[in-house]
Amino acid sequence: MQPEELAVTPFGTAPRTGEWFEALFRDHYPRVVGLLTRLTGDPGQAEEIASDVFSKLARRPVLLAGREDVTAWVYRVASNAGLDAVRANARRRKKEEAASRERLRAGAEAGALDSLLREERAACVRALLAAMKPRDAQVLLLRSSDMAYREIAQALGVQPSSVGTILARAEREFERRYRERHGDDI
Amino acid sequence: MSRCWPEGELRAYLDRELTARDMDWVAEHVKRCEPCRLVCEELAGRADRVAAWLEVLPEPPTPVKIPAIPRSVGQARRWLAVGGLAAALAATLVMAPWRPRAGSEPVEVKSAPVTKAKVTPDPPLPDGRGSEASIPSRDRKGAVAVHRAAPPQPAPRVEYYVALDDEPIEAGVVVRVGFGGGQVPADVIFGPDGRARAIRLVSDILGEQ
Repeated sequence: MQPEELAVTPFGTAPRTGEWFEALFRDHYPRVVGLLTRLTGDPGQAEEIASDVFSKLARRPVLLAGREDVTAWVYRVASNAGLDAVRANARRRKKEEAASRERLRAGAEAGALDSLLREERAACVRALLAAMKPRDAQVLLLRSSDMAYREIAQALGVQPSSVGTILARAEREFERRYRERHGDDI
Repeated sequence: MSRCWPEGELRAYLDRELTARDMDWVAEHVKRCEPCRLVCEELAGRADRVAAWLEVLPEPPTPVKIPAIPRSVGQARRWLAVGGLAAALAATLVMAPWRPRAGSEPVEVKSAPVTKAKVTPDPPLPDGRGSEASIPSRDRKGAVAVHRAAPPQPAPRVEYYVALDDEPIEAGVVVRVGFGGGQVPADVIFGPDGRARAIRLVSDILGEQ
């Protein structure tokens, strides 16, 4: 998938009118939903969280009137809410996985093994992301969603020249945690 | 040999996220610098592994359906302003029959003595809004009950009542004014913030009783 360019509109400097908010919403809502879907594994929950984030933003005149980079705020709040959801979903997922194993034993579903293994790997990755520093988890998710460094920088509220450093550190930390959990035989 | 590059720049180089000039410089440097080449290989290997691990996360549905845009504060204010303007326009239309005709005396508005009054809010309309500019029926007589300290007089009959905004009136000041040289009385109800909240025409002086 080719990286889809975000609008070049400098949201941090444009006058914050109703049109500005609509443009921000149109440009970033699909991205935020995509990021949250990958993070939570639940498109419905992702849409719900994304809608909540933008509604919260719409109700915060102080934020809209201030100088803070709202794009960074949106991604920060959305990914934090997504990570919270991952932690909250952990218990539910364990029950679902137990039910999946039971179905697998009963041979009720064709191809259930692949599906189960994939879901277990995804749950493991989510758990590792949820245990990392939020910014590290964010940069990994954003990069794995094919966002360019300039877009990641905008979302994280950092300089584009810092993204490489943040990404390299986050990847190192993720690998360390992954190996801790699964050993070197991966 | 040119200077060695920090890890962050090398990571950006692997993603081709440096400027064209820096890409050339790093490429040239890595060819000749063994430590930087090893760092690049390590970074590239790790990036590939992490990308593969993260690939198990499901892709979002495409295209993502965009819901209705949450109304921002600015928009809400704008709609409130538009609503106020519409209410004021409606009030103007309702008052139009009492405007002086051409050639008649200019309108003189006389203020009656200001009386601090407690205003009971208008009972809600069936649709629950209660703020539309509307012409009340006889049943809405006394829609805004005013308790004045003035000596008891026959209660004026309210013919027209126009709310100028959506907010309920809990307390305010009623100012009696007269249009057309004082012949057409009306009450203007001001809220605690000094804004005019409603206008009503009182017809007992019009001889319509």
